[in-house]
Order: sequence, then C-alpha cells, then structure tokens
Amino acid sequence: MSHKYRIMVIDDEPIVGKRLNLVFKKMGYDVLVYTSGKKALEALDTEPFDVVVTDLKMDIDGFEVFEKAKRKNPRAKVIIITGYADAHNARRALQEGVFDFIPKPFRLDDLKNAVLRAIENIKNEDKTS
Amino acid sequence: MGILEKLNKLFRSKQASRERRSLRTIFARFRDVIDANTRALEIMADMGEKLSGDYIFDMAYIRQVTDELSEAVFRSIHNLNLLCQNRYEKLYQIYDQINAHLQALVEGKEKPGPLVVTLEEVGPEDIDLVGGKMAHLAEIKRHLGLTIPYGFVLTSTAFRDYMRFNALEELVERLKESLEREDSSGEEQRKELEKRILAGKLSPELTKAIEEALAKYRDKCGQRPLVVRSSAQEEDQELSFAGQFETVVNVPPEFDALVTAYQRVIASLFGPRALSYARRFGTHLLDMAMAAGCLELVEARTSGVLFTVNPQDPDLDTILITANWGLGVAVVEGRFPVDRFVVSRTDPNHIVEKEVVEKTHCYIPGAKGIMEAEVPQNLRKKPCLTDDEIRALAKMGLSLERYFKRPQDIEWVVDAKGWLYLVQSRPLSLPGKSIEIDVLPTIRQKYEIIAEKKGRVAQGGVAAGPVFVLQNLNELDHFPEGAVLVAPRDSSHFVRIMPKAAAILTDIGSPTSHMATLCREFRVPAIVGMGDITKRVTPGEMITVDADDNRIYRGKVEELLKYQAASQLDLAETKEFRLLRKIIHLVSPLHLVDPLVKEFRPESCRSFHDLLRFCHEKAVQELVNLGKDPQTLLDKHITKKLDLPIPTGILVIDLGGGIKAEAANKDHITFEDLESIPFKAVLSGMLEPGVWQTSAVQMHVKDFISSMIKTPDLTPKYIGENIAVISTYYLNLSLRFGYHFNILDTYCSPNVRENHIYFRFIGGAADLTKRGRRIRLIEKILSYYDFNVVTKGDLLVARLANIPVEEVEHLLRMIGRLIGFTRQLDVLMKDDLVVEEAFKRFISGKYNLMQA
Repeated sequence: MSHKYRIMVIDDEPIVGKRLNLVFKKMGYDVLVYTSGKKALEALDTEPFDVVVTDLKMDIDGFEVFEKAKRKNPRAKVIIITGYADAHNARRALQEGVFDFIPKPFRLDDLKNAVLRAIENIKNEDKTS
Repeated sequence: MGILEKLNKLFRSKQASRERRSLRTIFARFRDVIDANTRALEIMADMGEKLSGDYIFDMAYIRQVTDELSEAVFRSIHNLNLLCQNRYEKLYQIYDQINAHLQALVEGKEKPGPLVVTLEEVGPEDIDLVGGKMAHLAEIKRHLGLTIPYGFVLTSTAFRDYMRFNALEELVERLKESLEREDSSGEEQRKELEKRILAGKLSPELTKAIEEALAKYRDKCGQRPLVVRSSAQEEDQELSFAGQFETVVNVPPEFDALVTAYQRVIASLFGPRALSYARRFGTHLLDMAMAAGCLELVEARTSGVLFTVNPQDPDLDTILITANWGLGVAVVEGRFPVDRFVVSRTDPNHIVEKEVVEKTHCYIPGAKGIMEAEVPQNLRKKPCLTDDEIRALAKMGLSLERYFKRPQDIEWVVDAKGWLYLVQSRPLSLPGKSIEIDVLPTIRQKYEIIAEKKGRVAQGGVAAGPVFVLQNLNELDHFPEGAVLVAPRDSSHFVRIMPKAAAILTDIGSPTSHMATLCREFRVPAIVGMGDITKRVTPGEMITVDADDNRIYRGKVEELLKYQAASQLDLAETKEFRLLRKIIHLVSPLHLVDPLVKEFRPESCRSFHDLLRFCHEKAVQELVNLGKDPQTLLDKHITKKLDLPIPTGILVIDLGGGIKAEAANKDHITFEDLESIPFKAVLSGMLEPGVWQTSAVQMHVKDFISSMIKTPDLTPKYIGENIAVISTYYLNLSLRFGYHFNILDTYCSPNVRENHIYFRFIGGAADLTKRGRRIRLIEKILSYYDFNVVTKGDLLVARLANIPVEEVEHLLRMIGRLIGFTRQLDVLMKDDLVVEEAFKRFISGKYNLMQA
C-alpha cells in the first residue's frame, strides 16, 4: 500500500472506539481513537487525518468536530454516527457537507462502505488536483 | 305473533346489533394486542441480532430498546384487559415485577441471588452472581464435560451481605470519593478497609448458608481440603486482574477455617494493586462484588499451566505447557525451575520440544496451607508428564480455545491416578504480539475467495476447519471436532455440535432464527442464508470463515487466524454485550408453551415472552369463543362458511384482508375468495391429491367422517369447533375431527421477525397406545422439518419462529397435508413399525397407508 490513510474515531462510548479501531485496522487503515471530544479537537491541531468518524452528542457537539476538521484539512471527509438521528440534524449535516450521516445502531458494513467511499473520493480528488 | 315472541325478537335484534357494534371494537382491541405483541417480539429479535457482532450499538441503544420493549409488552397486557373486561389484571403485577428487574439491570443494579450455590447449579445468566472465573468453570463443565473439582460458590450476594453486615459499604464509598478527588488519603483508607474485612463477622444467614454448604461438601468429599479462589464480577473477562486476587490452598472443610480463607480472598479485592487498577480503569471497579469459589483440592501428582498459544513462538503455531510435581503454585509463582513442553497446535499434536529440568523443590499441602518440599531423588530428572498426558492436555487446551474462540491461559492438575482436572481457564493476552496487520488487505490476492457478502452474519468471528457437509440430521453424530458445518438450512438441532464446531454456514436461514441465537450463546461464527454454499465447497477441504467481514476463503488463512488470536477485544465480554445478553436472558425465554395445562396462567409468566404468549393466546381464545356464540354465527358479516371440496365445516372470521373484497357480503365462500396467505397455504396442503384419504379406509372412516365433519349445515354439537380467524398474514385455525383437535396459530408475512408457526395436536378416539404412536409419528415428521416439538401423553406442541415467508408457506402446506394425513391414522397405528412406514410415506409424498 503506497499511502496509509488515517481515520480518526471520536465517540464517548468506549466500546464504539474499541471496535472501530479493530475494524479499520483490519481494512488496512491507520486509526486514532478518542473518547473525549475535547481531546479530539486538540488532536485535530497536531495529528494528520483523512477521515473523521464522530459521534454527535458528547462532551462537545459533533458538528464542532466537523467544522474544525474541515478547517484544518479541507479534503478530509467527516462521517457522523449518532443515536440522535432526527431530521433536523440529518438535514443540517447534509447542508453543511458532512460526508455521511449514519444513525446508531448500524450494521458495520454500512460504516465500512461509507469509509471506503470517502477514501475513494479523496483519491479521485487528489488525482484531479 | 304473541306479544312475548315480539318482545323476544325485538330484544334479540337489539342484542345482535349491540353485539355487532361491540364486535368491531373487539376486533380492534384484538388487533391492538397482536400489533403490540409483534412489535415486542420484533424488538427482542432485534436485540438478539445485535449480539452477532455485525452491528455497532451502545448503551443508548440498550436503554432505548428496553424502554420500547417495556412499553410494547404493557400495551399488549392493557389491550388484552380491554378486550376481556379486565379478566387478566393479575398480569399487570407480573409485568411490574419483571420490568423492575429489567430496569435494575439497565441501571446496573444487581439482582440478589442465593448466598451459596453449588457449581452444578450455576447457569449461563449467573455470571454476576458467581463472578467470571466460576461462571466459566461451570460453563465448561456444562458444555465440554471436562473434569472439574467438586465445589460451591459463596456468591456476590454473600459478599454484599458481608459488607453490609459489617458496615463496610460506607468505607468503600469514601475510598472512591478520595480517589476521584485524587487526594492522598486513598492508600490509608484502602488499608483500613482490608483490615476491617479480615476482622469482620458473618450474618446469621450467611453463617447458616456456609454451614449447610460445608455439610453437603463433606457428604460428597469427606474431609478433603478445599481451595478457595477469588471470582470477582469482572475477573477473567474484559480485565483479567491476573494474580491480583488471593487464592487460599488447603483449607480444611471446617467453618472457622473456611471463613478465615474467605475473608482473605474477599479482602484481596482491596489489595495493594486495587488502587492502581481503579485509577487506571475507573473507580467503578471498587463497586464490584467478589464471589469465592470453594473447590475440592485435588491430590496433585503434577500441576501446571497451559497456554494454547505459545507467546515465545514467533509463528504462534505451538502450545506451551509448564509443569512441576505437586501443587500448581510452584509453576504460577515461578520460584523453582519447571518442565517445559512445546506441542504443535495442529493435529496430531506432535511434541516438538521437551525441556526436562532438575526439579529439586515443589509445593505440597502442609499441616496448614502449603509447604515447600524437596522432590525425591528418583523424580528430579524425570519428566513430570508422560507423552500421552502432554497430548491429552494439548487437546483439552485446544478444545477450550475452540469453545471460547480465543487463546486460553489454563491451570490444570493431574492426580495420582493420572486423572486430568481443569481448575481455571481464562483468556490469554498476548501483549506485544503485534501482528503484521498490513498483510491483511493482501490476503485477498493470496487466497481464493469462495463467497463474499453472501447471506447474513448470525455470529461474527474467524475460524478455519475442514468442511463437513450435512445431508441429514443423523450425520451430526459423526461431526468431527473443529470442523466447519455446512448445511442446506438452519436447524436448532445443531446445538449438539456447537461446542466443537469451528463455524456454521447454511444455504437457507435467518439471523433471527433459534439456531442463530444458539450460535451467539456458543460464540460460533455463523453465516446463514448464503444461497448455495453447500455446492461451493467440497467435504473435507480446509476453509477459513471470516464472519466479521462475511468472507469465506479456500485454505487456511494463517494471517487472519493469528490476527484474530492476538486481537485484544473479546466482544462477548464487553460491558454492553454482557448487559444485552443478560437482558435477553430475562425477557425472551419462553416457559409458557402449552395453553392446555393448568400452569398456563398469569402467575406462571416469568419473562416478557411468557406474558406476550399469554396475551396472544387469550386474545385469540376470546375471538374463538365469540365465534362459538350462535348469535354471532348467524351474522354473516362476522362469520362465513367455507365450502371446500373436502368436508371440513370451517367457519371463517376475517379480521381484515383475509377475504377478497367482492366476497365481503357472501355468507358462503370458497377457496378462491380467500386472500389470507397462511390460510391458503394450509388449505392447499389439505387439498393436495391423495392427502384427504377416505377411500382406502372406507369401512372404518367413511361413516366416522360423515357424521363428524360432513355437515352441510352445522349441527349444534360442533358449532364453532372448526373456526379460522384470519387476516392477510394471520391465521388461527381450530379444527376438530371426531375426537382430536388441531390448533394452528401462525403469522406469515414479508417480515421474517413477525413470523411464527405454533401447532398443537391433541386427543383421538383410538386406544391410548395407538394414539401414542400417532403422536410419535407427528413428532417425527415435525422434528424432521425442524420444529421444536414437545409432547406429553397424547398432546403435542410444535413451534418455529423467525422464518422467511416462503419457508412459512412451505411448512404450512406441509402442516395442511399432515392434518389431512393424520386425521384417521390412530385407527391404523397397529404397531410401531407403522410409525416408521407412515413417516417415510409422508416424507416422500405417498399418503395412502393402506396401499402396501
């Protein structure tokens, strides 16, 4: 693999991070896991990343993560996973350019496919630019 | 017309119209019960499926679904009471009890249990009661049949009782607070707590329970001493706490000695390392209870430890066994040199390395506790295990690893007679074994993929083994240890081989089937509904099942297996999975199966599933009783007579969508007027050529049938005996033929989770022996079709749930044929051979028993 893409996982429920860590590593990605939104925000300043998978309701709002991630790395893709998948949040996510919005609980395949698509998009954008 | 007659007529018509109006309400209520039940069963199936590992869920999900479930079950009870004029108010009380348990579970509160239990009494739901270590031992004893020393457990409830009786709970709270404040008084408080536990007293209840347990123990084991082992709630699960808690060896089976040992064990919960653990993993660890296992001390000739994966082997291809004469302490502590054996993990488990050292010292039981002893000269240089014993140990280790689906760290003992005992098995962590994860994405190029993303994952995990293609259930007897079972369809009968199966794959099946649930209990990786997997593999060939990614490889994918072995997360042991499993154990077992027994009453309901079953049955009963009322019978808007080419005299009550709109005003309808999917399926089975036998048994049966069934006008005697309550997807059919009854309740919709078949057969005119044979025949046939069948005398109850619509239709046609086929059979069941013959004929579609 020429370049190892890096996925940042942010969720205050430890089990989510633990599992996604294994799943994404097995897919061949580099993974960073945070159970605190605040710590993740700090990490966005220092750590490189390509895809961010974040919860919505934590110590901070998931949209805050989205905004900072886009500011730091405009080519990054952000996927929101949430137990609070109401129409308002879904619409907002769509409008603001969140890559995918997946309500919890979800099948792992759904998230894996979203990540694959995100990486595919990044690759294509890199080619054209 | 006399005045009285007029009044009577007027009154009747008024009553009839009132009946009609209320009937509409009754139907609405009935539907409300069924809807609530369907929703509740759907939620329970959904919860089960989440355990497959194929989903990401969190505590928020658990809280949400338990709330929804509680609400749906309540709705079912409430509507049943509206339907039946509050005849079942008792259900509310039962509901409240179960719901209180459920809420307590979700909030993390423990359900108190007995103070002492024997190891044999420990069940799968008792993990919090007896702690991780003892729960695992009990599970191994139950499912793998390995020899485990006799013993009992002083439970978590005993621990709470002890802490409460000595007013120690407050100290724990204070310790937690100071840890959270990160002040310096923590260590001092810990020491105080430890000291006070060691000096505490037992409550009268606990004293009595321990005395009784000891008396029972002495009856069984005499004066054999005990080993008292820690079994904390979280121990040997997500966190191993290896070596942190106390084990007291050689405790005389006397009250005072046992209590002293017990105090030492539970005090170790607050031992020197407790604080660092709590700081690292959270102060909630200080809330956990410490159960203590009291097991017979085996007269050890040799003891030791076995790692199913040798951490010193870079390829992770071998097993490591370390052993010394005497007690296991010598090996665990590592104070003396010990023998070291390395065995191949692959069959036939060759011993690849034997390092026999000079063993000068060992531990043996002393007058009190254990003592160091010199090994006699003649034994010092002798291997302390024979080759046969080494291989037996290796096999035991691998079967434990196969069962728990991850490498194990095992403590074992061999006694003077050469008997092998297991005393502990826990997950082996292989820290620092960073598997080359980068190779994983490349294995797709290296190995042939047999199937990918086919079917649904019933249970995640990775395993490899030789293929065993199952043609019929009898072959399960020859299922080899460690093979991959490949079968045409799901079957709950597979439970027999689950403890030794590497994985299970099926052509047809559902992740919510009974088998899928069992796979989750046994952690057997399983993918169901793969279409044609039986045709894609060859019996005996090695395949690797990656149920985590839903992919099957040809050959043994070592990279994947090693990755799996080294991965640190055992999903089944995480807090969320354990909680969800406990909830499922509380809500979904069905104890209330047979509505005919006197135990079928609200007081017998022990789970939500029982409550739902009860509500369903009583709601249907209410409708059936309604159908029996001559007044409603005469009302053609409510009941219709079904005219079939065979004489059945069935009255139909349509709840909605069961009959074509154009037939709505008819009072006689035919098969063609029906829309109900399940009803049409059953009837087409009954109507299949040759099924409705009359010709061959004319002498016996013709009159019998015509008098009982062939009733163009219903005789009052049997009014309401043959009734079908239907809707588009639903059928409740009560059929009485002469002296026997068939009752069929089924849901057959596009939604797999809603679907079920419940079939009950009872009675018969012939003598008891013949009737018994007929029941045996029906049992044999329904078991063949994978129903869960229970029989009692001449009563049979068969159930099946969560099956796809086509499958339900297929099975209902079979039941239709069976109803026709068995109608007169009891008269013919002259000997046991007929059962076998009739079975074969039915299966092969030859329904005429009289034709030789």
